[in-house]
Amino acid sequence: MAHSPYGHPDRDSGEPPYAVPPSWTEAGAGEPDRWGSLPVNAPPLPAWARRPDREPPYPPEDRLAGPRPSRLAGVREAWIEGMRAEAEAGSAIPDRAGPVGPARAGADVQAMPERRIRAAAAEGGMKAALRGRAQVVPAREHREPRDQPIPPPAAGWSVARHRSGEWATVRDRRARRFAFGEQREDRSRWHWLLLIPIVLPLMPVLYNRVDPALLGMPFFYWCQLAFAFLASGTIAFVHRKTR
Amino acid sequence: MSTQLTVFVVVFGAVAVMGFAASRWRRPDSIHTLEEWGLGGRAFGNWVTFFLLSGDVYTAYTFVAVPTLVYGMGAAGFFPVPFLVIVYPMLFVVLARFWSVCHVHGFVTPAEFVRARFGSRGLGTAVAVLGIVATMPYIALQLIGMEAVFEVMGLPKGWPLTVAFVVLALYTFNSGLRGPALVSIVKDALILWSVLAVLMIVAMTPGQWETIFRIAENRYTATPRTDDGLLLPVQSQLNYVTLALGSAVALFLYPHTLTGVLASRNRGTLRRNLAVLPLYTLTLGVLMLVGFAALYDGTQPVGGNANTVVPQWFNENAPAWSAGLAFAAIGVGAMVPAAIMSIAAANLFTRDIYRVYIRPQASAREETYVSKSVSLTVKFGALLILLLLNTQFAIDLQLIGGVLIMQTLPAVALGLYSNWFHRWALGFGIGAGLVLGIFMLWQVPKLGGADGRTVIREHFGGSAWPLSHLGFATQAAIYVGIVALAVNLLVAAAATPILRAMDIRDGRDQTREHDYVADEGDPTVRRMTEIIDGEPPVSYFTPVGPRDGDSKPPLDAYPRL
Repeated sequence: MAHSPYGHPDRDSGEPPYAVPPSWTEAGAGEPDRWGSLPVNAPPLPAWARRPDREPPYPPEDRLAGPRPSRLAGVREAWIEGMRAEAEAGSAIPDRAGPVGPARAGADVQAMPERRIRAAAAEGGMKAALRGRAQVVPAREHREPRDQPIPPPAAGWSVARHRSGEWATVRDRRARRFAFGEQREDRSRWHWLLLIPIVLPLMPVLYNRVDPALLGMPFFYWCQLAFAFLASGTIAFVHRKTR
Repeated sequence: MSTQLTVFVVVFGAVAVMGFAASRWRRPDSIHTLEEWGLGGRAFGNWVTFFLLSGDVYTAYTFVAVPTLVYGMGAAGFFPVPFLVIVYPMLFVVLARFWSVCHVHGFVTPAEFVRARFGSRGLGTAVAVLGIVATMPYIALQLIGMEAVFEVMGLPKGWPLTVAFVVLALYTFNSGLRGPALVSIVKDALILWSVLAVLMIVAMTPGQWETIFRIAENRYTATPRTDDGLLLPVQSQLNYVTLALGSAVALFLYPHTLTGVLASRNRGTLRRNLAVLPLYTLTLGVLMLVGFAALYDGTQPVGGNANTVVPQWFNENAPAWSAGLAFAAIGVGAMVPAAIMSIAAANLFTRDIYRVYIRPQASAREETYVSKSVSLTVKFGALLILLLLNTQFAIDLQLIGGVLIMQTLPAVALGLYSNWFHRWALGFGIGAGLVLGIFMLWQVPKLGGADGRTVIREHFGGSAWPLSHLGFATQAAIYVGIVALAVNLLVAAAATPILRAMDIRDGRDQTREHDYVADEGDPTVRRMTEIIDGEPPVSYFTPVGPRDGDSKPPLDAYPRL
């Protein structure tokens, strides 16, 4: 998949991998809380987690949505290429101009061979790419998402993101069938450790004996009670590792 | 009035006052929504969740009946300890997903989740009905625990139990889940004291545990039975393991456990609690060893009621006031789970039967009112079972209930991981599991007599199904629930591809993968349905407005399946 100028922000560094216009980070400090109904003063999203002002006109192609109609093939990729070329050419991502956002995603694009779009994008950026026959026009009226940007987050606040870097609610709009072995967001190898305190207490062969006794208590009894510490410790360990 | 009774009445009175006062605890703007009344506002933190869950899982009946089992059979009665150890690692991953999806969609019961996940109203109803049927006798069992205490204190059978349950019913009606949450703190303090008392009493007996275990061993050797002893006989091991595994599965699926789980504030709270709760099993372990101590002290059950062994042991060996505290621990320990169970059963009825079939447009206030009334009905139903029918009937029903509730595993627990199963396949699986499970329970005779071989009753005598029915020359037995569950899973897994091949329509899954990992403060923890079904919102991160308890839900807010 083409590299998206927005996608895959690195969770660990906390820095988005693209140029952030200053207005995203500075604006909005000291605003009143507009998130009134979120639980106790949840700090608003950090600027990098906001929906960007400009987005590719279509979601990435994947097995969720099925194949894209041929007349739309490559439009997204061309858009992204264009943005990239534009950014490399020195003009920062324009702040609040141009088409887009998924509310506007109904935009229609007229046919243009992918080859030509790519060629145009490589030559002269987005505008050149669109100068061909493809034109993006807003499909319908939309309301402006927000008048002002959101204040920067409190320290230590992290926002759950979909692993793909897309917004979960948009990406997952269509139901699909989940197989059992599939990659999940909360998947972790550490969970296999939990099998130890499940399997051991289910093997009487191990502890069905009297010796060694503890305080006069046969092994059968104190060993099973000791499994409680094992379970507690394992769960605490896994909890710390997967938090 | 004896000292024991005085202490008991004082503690019980204090608890009743606390139960009523709990409605003022963290008082919400309006308690007239099911989330406030039935889930305590989904806002319990680490400590309250710990007390609530421990009060929920370690019930009075466990504290009374399990030591009795140890008293009678020795090692084979010790299965609750492995069961309550393995259950927490099993739940650790699953429950967090359950919490998230219920939080995102506003579910209060497991049946609602099944309905949304598999797009099947009938399947949701089946899960709800199984939940209610399995929970009712469980409430009656709590009464049996309390009854044993009353019997030791020399009270008659009828009115004290009724009084205790009227108090319980009224404060549950008034305070909802906040009542048992507050009372469970008292219960845990009392249980802790009882455990300390056991340890101190044992420490003061000459020879301590060593003598106690030696005497117990001699006693088991002297009996003509072959299935008792300090260690597991070979033929009991399979039943021991399957019973522990099956009970752990059933515990997760019981609606009252899930109600306690949903009341916690966030995923972290839940996961931290699951890490700590295995340690609570130690208290149960110590109380189970009272069964051996009772053998050592020669305690005899009062009035032929085997469940009186533990209270009677406290009565004979502890100072009167301390025995009173232990009695109160059992009494209060019966009230907490009984309240949570009745709330869970009532929520199941309201959300999955009343709102689905009777009044789809019920307002939040109406839902709460229905739930409150049903919780009263359920408790008095349980009381009537016990007073009019007999104790044995309640125990038998509970035995069946455990097998019934296990059959919801593919829909509820596996449903948290995959929607691969076809809704009809799940239905067939549940049906097959139920029929087989009940038939196998019917086949199990009740054994008794001095050598444990005499058949007392032909049918419904236990949950250990002898493998000799299959023609094996062995005395080994297996827990019925596990077999029924295995058949259930096989049928569901086999029927799914067949139904798909026949092109029978699948249900529509209302949940999304991201719902299962959402946490408190996550911008997606909100009603997802307007995103899925309604107009696209202005911003996908705009939180839903305050939920007003009294206004009707908007017609398009949540599609009724």
